[in-house]
Amino acid sequence: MRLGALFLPRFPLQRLVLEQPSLSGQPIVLHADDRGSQRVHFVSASAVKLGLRPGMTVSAAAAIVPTVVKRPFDVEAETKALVSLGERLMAASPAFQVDAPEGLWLDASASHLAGGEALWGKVLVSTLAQAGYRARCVVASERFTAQALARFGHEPLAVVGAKTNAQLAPLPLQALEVGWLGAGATAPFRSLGLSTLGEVAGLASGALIARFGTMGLHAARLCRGEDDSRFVAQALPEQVHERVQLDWPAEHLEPLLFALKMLVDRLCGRLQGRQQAAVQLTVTLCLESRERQAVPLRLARPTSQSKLLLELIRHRLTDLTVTQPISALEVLIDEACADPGRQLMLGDAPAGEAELEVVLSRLQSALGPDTLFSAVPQAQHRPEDGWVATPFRPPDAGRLSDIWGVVDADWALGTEQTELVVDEPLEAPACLSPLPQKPEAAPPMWLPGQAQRSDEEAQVLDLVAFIDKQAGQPHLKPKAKSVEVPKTATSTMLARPPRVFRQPSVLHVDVAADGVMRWVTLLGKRRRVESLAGPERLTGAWWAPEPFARDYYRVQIEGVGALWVFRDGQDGDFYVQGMFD
Amino acid sequence: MTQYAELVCRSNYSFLSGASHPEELVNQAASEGLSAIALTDGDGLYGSVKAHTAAKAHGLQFILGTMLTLTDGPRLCVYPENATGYAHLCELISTSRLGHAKGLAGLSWERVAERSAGLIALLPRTGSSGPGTKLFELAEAFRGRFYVGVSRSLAPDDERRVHEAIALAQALEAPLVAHNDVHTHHRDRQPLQDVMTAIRHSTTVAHAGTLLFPNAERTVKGPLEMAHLFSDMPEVVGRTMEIASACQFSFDHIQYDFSEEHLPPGMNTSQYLAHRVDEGLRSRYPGGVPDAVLAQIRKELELIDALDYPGYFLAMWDIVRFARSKGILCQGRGSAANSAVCFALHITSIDPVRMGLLFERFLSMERREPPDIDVDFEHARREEVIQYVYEKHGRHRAAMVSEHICFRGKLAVREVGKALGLSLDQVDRLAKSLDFETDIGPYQLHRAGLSLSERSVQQTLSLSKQLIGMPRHLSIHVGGFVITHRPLVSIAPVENGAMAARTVVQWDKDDLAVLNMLKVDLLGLGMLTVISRCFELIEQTTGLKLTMASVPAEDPAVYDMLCDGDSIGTFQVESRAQQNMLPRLKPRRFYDLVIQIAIIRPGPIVGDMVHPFLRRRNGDEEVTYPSEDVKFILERTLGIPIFQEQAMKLAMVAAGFSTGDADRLRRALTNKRANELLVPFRAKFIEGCVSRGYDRDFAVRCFDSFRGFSEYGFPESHSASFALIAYVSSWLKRYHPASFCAALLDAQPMGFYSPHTLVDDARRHGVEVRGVDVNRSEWISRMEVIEQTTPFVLRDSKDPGPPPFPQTTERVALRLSFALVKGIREASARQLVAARDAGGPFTSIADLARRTRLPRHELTRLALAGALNGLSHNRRNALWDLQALGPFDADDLFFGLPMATDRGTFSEMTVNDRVYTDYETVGLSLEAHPVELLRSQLKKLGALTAADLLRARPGQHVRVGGLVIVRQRPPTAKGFSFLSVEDETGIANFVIEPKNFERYRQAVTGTALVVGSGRIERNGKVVNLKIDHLEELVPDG
Repeated sequence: MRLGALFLPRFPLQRLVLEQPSLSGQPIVLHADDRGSQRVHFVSASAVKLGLRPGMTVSAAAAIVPTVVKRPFDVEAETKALVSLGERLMAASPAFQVDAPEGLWLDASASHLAGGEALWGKVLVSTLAQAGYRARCVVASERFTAQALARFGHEPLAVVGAKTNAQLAPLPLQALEVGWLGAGATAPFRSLGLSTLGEVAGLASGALIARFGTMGLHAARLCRGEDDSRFVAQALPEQVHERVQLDWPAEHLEPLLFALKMLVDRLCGRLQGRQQAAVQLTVTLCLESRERQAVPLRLARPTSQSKLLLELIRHRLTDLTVTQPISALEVLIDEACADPGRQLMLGDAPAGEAELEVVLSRLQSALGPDTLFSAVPQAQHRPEDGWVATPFRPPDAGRLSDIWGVVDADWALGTEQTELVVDEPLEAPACLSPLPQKPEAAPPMWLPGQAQRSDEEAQVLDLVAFIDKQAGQPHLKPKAKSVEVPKTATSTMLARPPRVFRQPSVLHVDVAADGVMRWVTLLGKRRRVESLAGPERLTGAWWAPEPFARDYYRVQIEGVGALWVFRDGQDGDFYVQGMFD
Repeated sequence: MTQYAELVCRSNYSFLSGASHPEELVNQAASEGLSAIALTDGDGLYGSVKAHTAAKAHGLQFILGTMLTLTDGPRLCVYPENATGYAHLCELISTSRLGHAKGLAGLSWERVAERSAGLIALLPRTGSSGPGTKLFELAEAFRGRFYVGVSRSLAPDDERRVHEAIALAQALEAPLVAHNDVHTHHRDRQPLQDVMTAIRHSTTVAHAGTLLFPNAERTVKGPLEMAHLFSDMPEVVGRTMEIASACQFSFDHIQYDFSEEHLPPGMNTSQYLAHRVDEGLRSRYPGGVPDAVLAQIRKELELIDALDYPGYFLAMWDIVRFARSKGILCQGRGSAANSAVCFALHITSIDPVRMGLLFERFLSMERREPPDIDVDFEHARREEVIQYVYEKHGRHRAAMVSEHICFRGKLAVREVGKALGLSLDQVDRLAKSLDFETDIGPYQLHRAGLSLSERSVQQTLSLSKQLIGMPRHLSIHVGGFVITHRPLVSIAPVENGAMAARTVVQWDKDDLAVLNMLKVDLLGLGMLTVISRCFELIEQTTGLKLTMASVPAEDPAVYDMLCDGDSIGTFQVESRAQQNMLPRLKPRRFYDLVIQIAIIRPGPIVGDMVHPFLRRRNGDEEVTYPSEDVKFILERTLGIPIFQEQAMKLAMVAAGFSTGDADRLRRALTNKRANELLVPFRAKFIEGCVSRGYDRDFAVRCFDSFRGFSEYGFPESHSASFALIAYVSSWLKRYHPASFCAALLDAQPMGFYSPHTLVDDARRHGVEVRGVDVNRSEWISRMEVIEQTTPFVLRDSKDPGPPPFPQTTERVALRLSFALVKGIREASARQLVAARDAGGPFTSIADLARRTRLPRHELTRLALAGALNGLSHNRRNALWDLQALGPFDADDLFFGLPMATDRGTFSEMTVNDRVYTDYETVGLSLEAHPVELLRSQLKKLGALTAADLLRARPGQHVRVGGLVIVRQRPPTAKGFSFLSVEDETGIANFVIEPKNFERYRQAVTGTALVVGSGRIERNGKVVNLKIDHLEELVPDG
């Protein structure tokens, strides 16, 4: 089998610069965690000139070149990008294999259709050049030979015959390590003073086997151009998804469209490589604040034409209003027209799966896209950090029997279950205005009829009206004379309220001269504090930008019930954190 | 008025569980108006002595206590009411600790119940499991002295715990008592407490979540605040005073008896000591004991008897006698050398009467402090002495002193940085930036690739400052032993040390001093091992049997060598600073060495004693004395007070101080707060001198020069003891450099220099050094007789002239040992030698493998070290042959048989590769110096060699390159840095001025190969290069 090895030197850096052209020419390092240290994996040419090298720590690099641009290196992302690139080259080759993080092997069996191996290789290199990538291509019969010559040879394009070692001979031993024997595996050869593949190839096989076992034989065979390893075609990912990080957050359509074009070109290239067309896709705008805004797009007619697709997306974006600059773009093909279908197994219930999808879709449509989530408890003292909302994941598409099997196992083990939680009731009553940016800038209390009420406000009003009704005191007025308020009592058991607000809200409190809370203003009314228990003191997060110091009280308010109130140690204001039912 | 005693309180001696020093807790308790405070660190009394001292200063009651870990119940605080209770407390802690590996503890409730007499128990937390039967039984054992603790720290589960405590107290019929479960002395310390929690759990503060306390309330609170917290049950606060008044036992009540020597019938310790001293005097003075010595001995024995220390001296005598009987070199040092009794008992080697040393520096009636006798033993054989002490006195009566290892700069930065979520490389660079700094500023951070604007960096720096000085773990003191007459575990808590067969008391030497507990210091000294080994080698090769006493004294050739600054490897005078001082001070007699050793110390340097002394010694300044009395004191140091004893004597003679006052002056002088403490003494000294007719200027000058003693300095007796070893080591270097070098290599690691510098120095003295060889080497170095010595030739020098160093006349060569080869175990080397001795030299690599059965990786290390060259011609062939050997499994039929006989054709390594491999495997190369390989490059740069530098003219601007072997930036050098830069011809001294330090910081602090240019400064034989440009020497290609 004939193979073409493509080597894209410093591919992760090439990709980064393509996506963010402003980085071109700058000293850049890509780094990743290595046993707790951030180590440099790739260094741009300009950074090399300034003395930066792979293997050094990021701090060391920053110490040498303070202006160095630091970006994380993610092998998985680079592999995905190579797969994406391979898919785009499938027009020239029926299959490819990823050689992460800097190369690809392509099946060159059909190169005669492109005018021969040399011309085929040239087409590949020029296709990549059009896409903005520098690459070297070597066509050979063995994966090792092709890869080693592409990586360590000097010709941009070469074609070599089968089992030839003449061209391999001058290559360094390092060629044996990457992806073959492993890092450091050639140390025994080096200790003998051997430095090239040809020198290893020249040693007697028997002697090598006697000394290094199968590793020695394997190495010698590779050095002689004998490689039996098989080409394994890359399985294509189920979802076609592309993402691009913008150079800087875009506030206008033009820079967005530039990135979008690159994205859609890649996407359509992949679709064409798969011989598929998009039916439904989602464009996601990643905002500067890490919020994401999804724009679903269902196509009336499936297509893989980038021009048409780009036009459709552009129209949708033109109508859109976003509140913040956009830092990244993602496009996901939700549905493509080519459906491979599937063979049903005994126990599968595709109808049930479909119904579940319908139910979930209806829930999401009715309550909004973010209302379905799982609440995961967190071991944190700050009440609002006591749990986090994680996206609710419906069962993966597949066989229900598999899914139920997993669930059974979880129950048997007694593991914690995630629950489907509807978010709405946990919001603070709207009458309690949200935490102001600055205490003095608190918004005025809402008055009935003064402004349009939100749904949340209406719900809380209903709730309070209900409470008032239950208490038989629909309209409480402050009494003329002062009311005796119980002193702070610590002996009362302070249970946490069942309803904890995600965001504490300001409570207007009248504090007497003796420092005791006597009256609160709630829903436009001044209400008497009947009892007060506490405090429970919570402090922490001093290491974070927003430390907290709070004294919590259970406050029984006349006509309302018990609220969980805290006094903030920083601004001195009172806030409501929850309600006791 | 409400009174309150805090009964549950953890200090930082709970090791990462409390964030305040014991003294801070006590000080805060005093300022909050507490009536008493207890320290209840887990299973120990580690910080109690410090708290006791601080409490005494405040007049505050300190309650001894601990929190015991029960293996079958919740933790329990216990407090001794009386001496019985204290003995039980120590026994419980010791049992708990000794029954577990270091750092762990645990007791059964039955064990606690057995030792409940004299103790009050408090259950600080009820635990989640509720009262069990065992708890009832435990409470029953403490009937009337068992309390249930209740605390309110404003935490979410406060009230649940209060209710549980009330229920438990009712069930156990035990009274409730309030406490605050104190972990910090002040709320401000809570961030450090959180960081410590994160460190303890190996996580970050951000991820620690509910592992952290919910607030900062576990702190020292005053009576009013506690009364407010427990306003619903005020009796629980008042009840703390009930416990405080019952616990009146304090450390002041400890009765300590030193172990008594096994006495002959009819003699008490005093008589037996006098008998031993009498015997010793006869051997010290065979020609008759001088009257002055006899008078001194009588005076000392009276004082020793009056202070009840005869047992201590006898114990030391016994230990030294044992060591000598086993041929272990030993010598007393420190202030003990001031004692004629110690000299007579052969504990020390310096005659204090002849030297005119001041006994009061060692022991005085006014001070009533225990004597401190430090004895050095060969470090390789010190363990034999330690085990003898355990054997003689029993483990129940002897234990080693512990050392409280505290967080230091780098470790603190690393731990805090990790806890605050900095990445490991950031933490690493931050810590490294502390190399030469005590403080980190924006510049250092910038160089480390960090920024002070980052909150985590700021917090790391701030919290690490707080963490520095906090105890991290317990270690074993270098040699301190506590020996008691009564069982030690009833006097002090004892636990296992990290080393096998070692037990330690929980207190450090300062704590023991506070408690007036005697300790003996059995220290290890590497140079004694070297001298002992050297004597052995000399006897093997020449038949000459030497001892410390038989080494010829006052040999001019030895002083000639030292005057040339040729002292690498010698004791105490080998450092760069000493090498520079030797040609200037020009020692010609033993007492010059005493001064030489003492003068290059921070004390004399800061006290500005060095230059005046040198001027007077060189005759540049007249030596005058205001009186004959003063002349008697200062004559030997040419009128400059260099030793603490001289300050004491001057105070007594010139200013009329009593012995006690003089000693108090010495203590003030050596205190860190000397400036403050010396104020009252200054006026007294000056006025005392003036009233005795001395010139006021003289008095002022004298007193001001004393200030240097606040820095580190040697007492005269200590310096004299060291000078003896320094002289012997110098004599050995001068006359037996091969044996001396071999002994130094075998005693590594020790001293200032690495093996390659020691070997190069030996070769410069004409010693032939031979490489490691499997057919000749042993685990330790050996000497091989040769016909003719091959003098070391200065490379790269067309006309080297006469050798700058005296050449050896020994007819022996030094064969390097297997111990130098990295990756070879001692057992393997001995296995190899045994196989060679049994079957003769190895004939091939296969023969070596089959007969020694060493693992392949060790044989590979030997091949790389060139030790197999004799079997396979060169290293690559050896590696190739080695790799052809069959399976190395011990039971394999083909073990070690060559599986292929073909020989590859491998070229010999290049000289660069050989030198590199030599350094990688052996740490030195006999073939070439690394800098020699760069000589052509250095020549292109116009660089001189170190040898050329000695011949260059002063003021000349030159360039020199080489390998940095020593870097120093002493605090007393006013910001100057010093590099010792070695090349193939010798060592050059680089001096970097403070203004250039930051500019060349990287090269000064971290670069191995440097090239520097600057002007030559010559002072006699001392040549320095004052650097104005320094850079890394990057090899071409």
